[in-house]
Amino acid sequence: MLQLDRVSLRQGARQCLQDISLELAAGELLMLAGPNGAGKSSLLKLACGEWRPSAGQVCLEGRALDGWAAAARARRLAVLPQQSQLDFAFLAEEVVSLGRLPHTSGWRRDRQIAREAMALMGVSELALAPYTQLSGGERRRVQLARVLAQIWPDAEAPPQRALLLDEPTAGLDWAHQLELMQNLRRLAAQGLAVLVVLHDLNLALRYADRVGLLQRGALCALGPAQQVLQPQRIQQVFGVEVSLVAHPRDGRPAIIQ
Amino acid sequence: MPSRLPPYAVLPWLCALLLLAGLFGLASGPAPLAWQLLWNGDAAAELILWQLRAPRVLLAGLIGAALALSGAAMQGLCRNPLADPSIIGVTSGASLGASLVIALSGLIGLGGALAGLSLLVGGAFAGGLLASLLVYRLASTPQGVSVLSMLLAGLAIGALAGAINSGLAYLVDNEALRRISLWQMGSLGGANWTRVAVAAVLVGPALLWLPRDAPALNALLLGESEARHLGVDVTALKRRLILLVALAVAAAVALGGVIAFVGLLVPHLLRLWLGPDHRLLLPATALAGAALLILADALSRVLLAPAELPIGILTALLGAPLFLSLLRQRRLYLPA
Repeated sequence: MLQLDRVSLRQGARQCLQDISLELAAGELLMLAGPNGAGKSSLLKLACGEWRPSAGQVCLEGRALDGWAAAARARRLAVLPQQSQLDFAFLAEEVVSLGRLPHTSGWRRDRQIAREAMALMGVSELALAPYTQLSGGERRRVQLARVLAQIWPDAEAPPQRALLLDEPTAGLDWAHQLELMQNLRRLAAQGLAVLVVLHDLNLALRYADRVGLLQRGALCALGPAQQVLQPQRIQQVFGVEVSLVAHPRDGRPAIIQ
Repeated sequence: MPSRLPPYAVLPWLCALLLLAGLFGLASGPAPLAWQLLWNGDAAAELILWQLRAPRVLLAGLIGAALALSGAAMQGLCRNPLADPSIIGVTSGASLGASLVIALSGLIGLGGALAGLSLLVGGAFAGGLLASLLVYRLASTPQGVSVLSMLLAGLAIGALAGAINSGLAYLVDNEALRRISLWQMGSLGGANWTRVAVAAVLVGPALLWLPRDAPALNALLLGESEARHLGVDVTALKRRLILLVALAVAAAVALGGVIAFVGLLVPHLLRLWLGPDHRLLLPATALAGAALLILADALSRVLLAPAELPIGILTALLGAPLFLSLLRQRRLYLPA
């Protein structure tokens, strides 16, 4: 549903991204990995229309991103940036409710959806706490609930929706990381297209349908997680020697150093 | 975090407060006004009420609402609770415009007292609007208006206008110098129905339009790109806010002089009590700003009666200590 067609990005003299084609399908959980500065966040910014590619184009449901009305696009595409700075003391539930801004489903339904999204992210008990007093991980989960509320499966929601997350697990404890990935898996199974920038290769190996590996602004591998995340390629891209072992509990592949 | 007031109770209370402030403003002044005289149709009492006090109360209300509402909108736009409508250079520009008119009328003897007064308003309005448009142009890039560039350009234009202003004050004679500094202290003494009408026309667009942008301003507090992803046309929103605020504040400063702290303090204080949701905050600041300035103006008339205390002095005297006490408990509602 979201196509990047031969996009490049040049900032000044620096070629940040080079000739990348990528299609995010409905119901798919696609993860982007790569070393720092490889262009993962830049690619996400192109995919959501925050930046314009210097060549190539990005289409949502076959129509160029620029061609969408702002609210209609926001009902189909929700984005969680790497960092968000919110210095105003909104209550957590008010932050989540902001995700319903592009919708006209009425305040009752909006409130209900905000509550369901908060429940999914495990922040229901923080609903009435001021955002500015939350810990880093709690803020992250509240922001996640906000973008989930934006593309919540609702009778009036457009049938195809995409969620773009830039390092959503950053700042989350281990249990919440796993819970988040399981939730994303479940949402993808319901038809949501999910694109996630992630550093944890084991999470990618376990939960992603496909993995895109970026190196110095180029997409050097794209395919099913187990095919892409081979020890040899990881060593070539990250410069770290790793082994692929069978997990003692379920025998599924796991990466260790 | 002090507990918030329930939203449904706030606006009716503020309306009642505004009404009381208006009655207090009508009732107070150097000349005692006996309500029985009015009832009996006394001509002098009617003149005081309808030609002096009523326009003054209305003008104070319009200017207070404009300053407070503009402050709330600019704080939202800059995502900084300490922003002030004057950061777009409008106040310093208006001061310069007013000083220029005063200095020129002293030099080449422009018009009589009445004409001089309206020239003064026109000069201040033009100065304020020109300065803020200049700041806006300087901060504009093909990608839109950068709030940081706007703050910096506002500072620079403010410093430039301040320097020219001081230069003028240095050059003019004592009488003009006194008029310049009196103007800068702020006063609503020149209120009449024409000025009320002018204020209503120039401040009206901001009062009517800014509250409609409340949901978009809420989204903007999350960040500019976050607001864009929520479907807000951030570029158009910024342009609209800056132009409406420039128009309203230039009019407010031109008609009332420099009135300190209303635009900073009222939204700041109300945000503390009501939370940052602009859907409630914007109408509440407009009502509270109007009530506050009507009360301050009434006080300025009675404190030193029959003389008048310039209202800018009064608002700064009351506002600064209040603001300092807020800063001291800042940790309660802001991150360190």
